[in-house]
Amino acid sequence: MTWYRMKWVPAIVAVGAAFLLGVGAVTDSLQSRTASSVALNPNHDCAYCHNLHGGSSMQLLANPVVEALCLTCHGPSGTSVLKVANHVYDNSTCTDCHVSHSNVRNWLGGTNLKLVRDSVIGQEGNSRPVVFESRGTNEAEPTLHSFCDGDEDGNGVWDGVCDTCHSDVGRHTYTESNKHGHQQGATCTRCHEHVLQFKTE
Amino acid sequence: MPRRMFRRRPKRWVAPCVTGALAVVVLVASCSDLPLGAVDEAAPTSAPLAKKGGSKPAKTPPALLSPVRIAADAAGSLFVSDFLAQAVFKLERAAAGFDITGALNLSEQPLGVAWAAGRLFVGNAVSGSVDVYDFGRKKPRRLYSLAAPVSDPTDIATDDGRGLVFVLDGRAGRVRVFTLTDGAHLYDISGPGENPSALQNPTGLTVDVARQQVLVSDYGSLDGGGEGPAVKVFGYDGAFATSIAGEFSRPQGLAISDSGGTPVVLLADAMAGVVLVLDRATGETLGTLGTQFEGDTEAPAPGELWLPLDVLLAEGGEVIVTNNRAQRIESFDAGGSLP
Repeated sequence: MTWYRMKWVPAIVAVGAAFLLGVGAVTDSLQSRTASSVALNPNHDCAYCHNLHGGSSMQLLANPVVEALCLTCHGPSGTSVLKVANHVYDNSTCTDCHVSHSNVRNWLGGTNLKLVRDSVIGQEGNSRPVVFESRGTNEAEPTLHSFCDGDEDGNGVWDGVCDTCHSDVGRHTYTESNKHGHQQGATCTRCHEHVLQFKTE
Repeated sequence: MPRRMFRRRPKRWVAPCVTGALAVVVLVASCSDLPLGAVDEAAPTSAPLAKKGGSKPAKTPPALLSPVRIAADAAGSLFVSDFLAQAVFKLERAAAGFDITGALNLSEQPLGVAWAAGRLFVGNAVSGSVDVYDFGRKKPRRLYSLAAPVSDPTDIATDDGRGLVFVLDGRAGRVRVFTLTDGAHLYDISGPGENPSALQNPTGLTVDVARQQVLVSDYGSLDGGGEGPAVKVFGYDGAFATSIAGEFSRPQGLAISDSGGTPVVLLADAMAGVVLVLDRATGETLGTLGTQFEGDTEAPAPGELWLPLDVLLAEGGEVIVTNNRAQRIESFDAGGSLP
């Protein structure tokens, strides 16, 4: 190799090192910004929802409406076997109840299942804690910390994922003053299927 | 093959035979005083068809809730499968757009739908069957089911002349072929796998009767390292012909056209929120129909697509699209260029 070719080697090495360091910094930055330090949902590749070149907004989303990202696979003719539809209430969307990247810790220190948020905005507009560690008796799982367990742990907080809103609405009203006994600890989605907007048929 | 993501192309597609084409927005009205299909004026702003909210929903409002696949009969009537309404709606042309004039109410969610030989073919997402109905009666009647199970009948196409029904089984990654007359199972096309001719995550299906080919849209590998999205083409005999790769991400329903001299594939891209017009030979995007709904307005404006799932090429070059989350169908005049 002649000298005039070799003179580029240090420069190439330097640029390569800088690139790798930069990639590492970006990766660290992304990891630190996610809701949890655990790995992203292993069933989802980044490119499912993010478009590195040409994505919209800061998140480089492949579609600016997050709901569309989910429904391309989880919608009626999507490829996932887990088909869903938005909750029938108003303009509810996926991210009202779910986070996109990983299961998150709840206020009691456990981990919520199914990417369910650690808090949701209740009907009254306040953020309410959610504990969802079991899918309930119909799935042969505990009644405690399921969809709606009627404050089974006795801490005075109705933190079932369904309770958070259904403490203040006309149906299945779970409050201290109105101890609705409807299927507490059961798997709500057995009758109120997610694929049918949580309505019953 | 590197993963391909969509890139929006602003170029408009205009059918060569048509000039001055204008998009016509659609359609289906809020049907508050039905039975079947009394019709309001088509609202250009396209308000949601079914009221959402905490109040108790109406019992049987024949309005589109989640339109998925679309088919047409020889008279131009449309049949739209509706996943949430658990029905197949019949739509007929009216002064402004279309009216819902009939419904096949089901107890489970429909997916693929086709019309052939005076019968309606409906894929049942829950039972994994394709059921055949006589829709000409006042009350549709089930005649029979196709003779082999289809675990996820996401799309259906027919070749009336040769008496064949093609059903895409999305979960099994194959196309099942049946006889039109009695639903006997003949053979299967493709199957899951990693080779180029395999179907990995297929969603949509159409047939090219002239060339005796089956075209299947496929999300491709979803693990990030495999084959990207494509339209795969097979002969009726099952032989793999080619794979059309292009600038798309989540390909759904599709249609074909040779009318402009250049054979094209019209492909609904659910993620990109457009219908792509692809050169069938190269996969190059020749133009697009519709624009992606970006959520800036409460409801998608005319021509904005929010999870488009199927495409139908109707008489005269009209392109009809199921606009799923907008809860309506969208009609683009011949050529489909938007003002």
